[in-house]
Amino acid sequence: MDALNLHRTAIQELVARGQGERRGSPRFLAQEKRSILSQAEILGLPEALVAPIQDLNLSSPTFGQFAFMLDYDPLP
Amino acid sequence: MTTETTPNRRTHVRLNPPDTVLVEPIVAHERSAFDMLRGADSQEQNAWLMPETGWRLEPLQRRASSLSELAALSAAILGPADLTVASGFLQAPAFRQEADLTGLTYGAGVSTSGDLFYQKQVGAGQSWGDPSFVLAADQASYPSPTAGAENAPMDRVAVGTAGAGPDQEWFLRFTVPGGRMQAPDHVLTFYFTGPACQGLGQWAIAFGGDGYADVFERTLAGTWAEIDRVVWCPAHQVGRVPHLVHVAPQPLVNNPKLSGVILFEFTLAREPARAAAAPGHFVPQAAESKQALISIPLTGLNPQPAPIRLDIRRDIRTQFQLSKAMLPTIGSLTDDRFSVSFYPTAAEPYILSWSAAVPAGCSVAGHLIDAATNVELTVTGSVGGFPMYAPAYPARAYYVRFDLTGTGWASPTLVGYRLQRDAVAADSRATETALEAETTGLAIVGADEDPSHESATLRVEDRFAAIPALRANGEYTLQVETEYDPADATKRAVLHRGAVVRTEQIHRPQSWTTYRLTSVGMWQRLAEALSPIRFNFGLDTNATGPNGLPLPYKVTDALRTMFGLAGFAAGALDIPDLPIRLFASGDADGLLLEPQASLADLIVRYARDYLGYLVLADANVGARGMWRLRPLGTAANILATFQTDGPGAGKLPHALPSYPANTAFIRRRSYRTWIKPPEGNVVVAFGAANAAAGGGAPMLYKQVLVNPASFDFGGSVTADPTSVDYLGRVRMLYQYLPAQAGEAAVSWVARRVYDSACHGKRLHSFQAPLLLVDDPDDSLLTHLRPLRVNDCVNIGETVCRLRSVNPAYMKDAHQFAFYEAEEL
Repeated sequence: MDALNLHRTAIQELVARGQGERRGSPRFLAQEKRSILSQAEILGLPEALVAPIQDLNLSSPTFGQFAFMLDYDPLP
Repeated sequence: MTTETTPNRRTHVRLNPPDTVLVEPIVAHERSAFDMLRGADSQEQNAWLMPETGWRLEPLQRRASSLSELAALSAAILGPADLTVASGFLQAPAFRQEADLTGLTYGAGVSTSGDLFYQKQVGAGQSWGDPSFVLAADQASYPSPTAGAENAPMDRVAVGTAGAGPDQEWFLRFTVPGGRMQAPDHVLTFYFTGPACQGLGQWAIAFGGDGYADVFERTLAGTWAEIDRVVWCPAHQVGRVPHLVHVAPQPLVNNPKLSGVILFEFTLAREPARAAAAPGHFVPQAAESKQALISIPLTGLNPQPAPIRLDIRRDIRTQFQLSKAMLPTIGSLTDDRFSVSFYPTAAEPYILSWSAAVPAGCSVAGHLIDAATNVELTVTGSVGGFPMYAPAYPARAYYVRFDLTGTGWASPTLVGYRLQRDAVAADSRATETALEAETTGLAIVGADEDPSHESATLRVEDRFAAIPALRANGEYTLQVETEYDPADATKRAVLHRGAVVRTEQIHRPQSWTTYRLTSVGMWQRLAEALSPIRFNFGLDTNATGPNGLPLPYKVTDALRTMFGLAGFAAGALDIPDLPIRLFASGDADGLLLEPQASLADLIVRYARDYLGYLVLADANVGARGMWRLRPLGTAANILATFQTDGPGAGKLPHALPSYPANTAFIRRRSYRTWIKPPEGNVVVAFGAANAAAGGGAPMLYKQVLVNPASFDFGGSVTADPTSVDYLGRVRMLYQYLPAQAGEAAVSWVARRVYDSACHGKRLHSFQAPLLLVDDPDDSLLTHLRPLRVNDCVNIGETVCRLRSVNPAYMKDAHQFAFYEAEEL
């Protein structure tokens, strides 16, 4: 029974992490207590396409790499 | 030759060491303009609450009778000096004292005659489109917004002689001749300057005969764009009745959402109604007033002032009057009574501050008044122009009064106020007790990335019942230290500082008492502090971006503010000044710290999520420890080495001095390694932007990042089954941004989540002697300290970052710790 509960907890943790919720995971941005919109409302907005920051061209020699991001990546 | 693993170490356990404790919490009371004056005890004089704006001096014209009869208001009505009117329009004053009536005396403030109106006067046989009725040159250079969509021409009949500011309020009075059944498409258009929305901040409101009014703004290209349509009058009541329209554009202060508003107030003087109870009689009807508000999103556009103008339909002999808002020069607000949630002493002053827009010549003065005596508290000084008051214990019920002073033409705008008093800290009065020989064992769980995990357990033997302190209280401060320098007993590394929250007394018949002490780290002090007020981190009033808009707080400034709200003074903090700001493009609702919100939680979250920094309660710096913000450790600063090899021939392998400095052995059979799989391999970050952040309309931003080494991506063989990142299948991670933000923020968050969650990690754990190290990168450190989370070490040849360090030992000669580390 303990093993079953452990497994259930692990699945709950996994789902929570996937949804970006904190629940025991110290690594994620958690949802603020006060949110402007629900997730369904956010997904209902018209989308402005965002420039990719990762090279996902399979034939590119820099495939998988990220573009330099100010205030994030250390200066070269 | 020593047989000790850690010679020269000596543990000291101190109960109630010198400590700074909170004795009076922070006190704050905050009111926005819209929360003020809601109770029965409140009152205002000459002031009104303008929607979405704040408290202002009330224009005298809001009562039409003032405009009509008072001599003082004649200065507000625009005449030939202020307004160029087409020559075919005649001046037609609407009021004069009835001097021929006997038994009638007017008040001193009533004008003899006045209330100037203009009206088109068409002579017999004269064309209604005669040049004398149209300012044709001005209309040609500044076309009407309704041009091309008019059933009959709209003629420019008046234009101001000077540009009008974006905060200039106007009153327009006019009548529309004609029958009730007539509904012309347009009757009159008024032009004014206001805050810029999408263009020049030059606005026009075109009143229709059907009761609707279209509101236009002139674009940067000089064309007109319709912004809104409002109802200004009930249908079929446009004709034959006088109208009073108040046009009040206002740029806003301290509003993170809006740059301004335009308020229209439409007052329709209704005709008397037939009395049902008395056939043949008519009952006067109260004027009907309607408000319409246009909210203007925060933009970086600046208004370009233009003169006011007026268009009137050619076939309607509208009688019109224009006046600029005239205000009383003084007003006051007395807000509701309130009590603060503590009993403050004079140890710290109150500061009464307020947020207000104060044009030249205007002022706002706030006063904190004792609710019991109705006397203002003693002013002890000022800070930033705001008064400081001395609390008089035990009084804690007050009210606030504001005096507004204007110029007659300009008014201050009070947006809100705050009464705040800093926390009071003092030296703890608890008596220090040293537990030296009595401590027979200790186990410390050091802080990890979550500082709340820090704790300690001690076993104390009280053979002679000599430690009454352990039986006196349920909670006391605890500090565990160890000596390490035989030449200087004052040099001590602090292994733990916290608060004992559970003292178990283990009773044994006919024997001494054993205590088991459980202590939690300094985190407890932070965790028990809750935010006393709502605080908006979305608006840093001291910083504006390249577009001239206010920026959100720097993360480090927000952290300092939250520590301050928790009662920690600047001397107890070591927080660098970093340029990264919170995400809040154009809106800050997601960055409001609500009353009673957990400060500790938000502090750790902001430091970790935005900066990638750790919050540490560091007991080894400062006299009584400090809260510190430290960057993630890197391979550039290796503090120690752990090895499985011995020290070499002729040296005792279990003795720490046998090894080079900052090097220790790993205890046999304690060494474990394992791989922690990635939490996911695809990150999808969503962000909702409001109109300002979204470039004019609410938008969804989305950024998708993948780890192709973890699974086969794009229909190709990209995964590496030998990689620690390998999962072999897609595992999605969804992240919604906490606040409304722009494209850059969405990408930034996606990258942060990717780096922290989309890679597997090789972890190491082992037991080794408790190493005490110096950190050359730490300017505050004056003695050795134990290794801790985030320190970088070599484990053999592998560079790792420590995840936790947990000292546990029973003899000073053999001080050991359990270490857990992840490979960089």
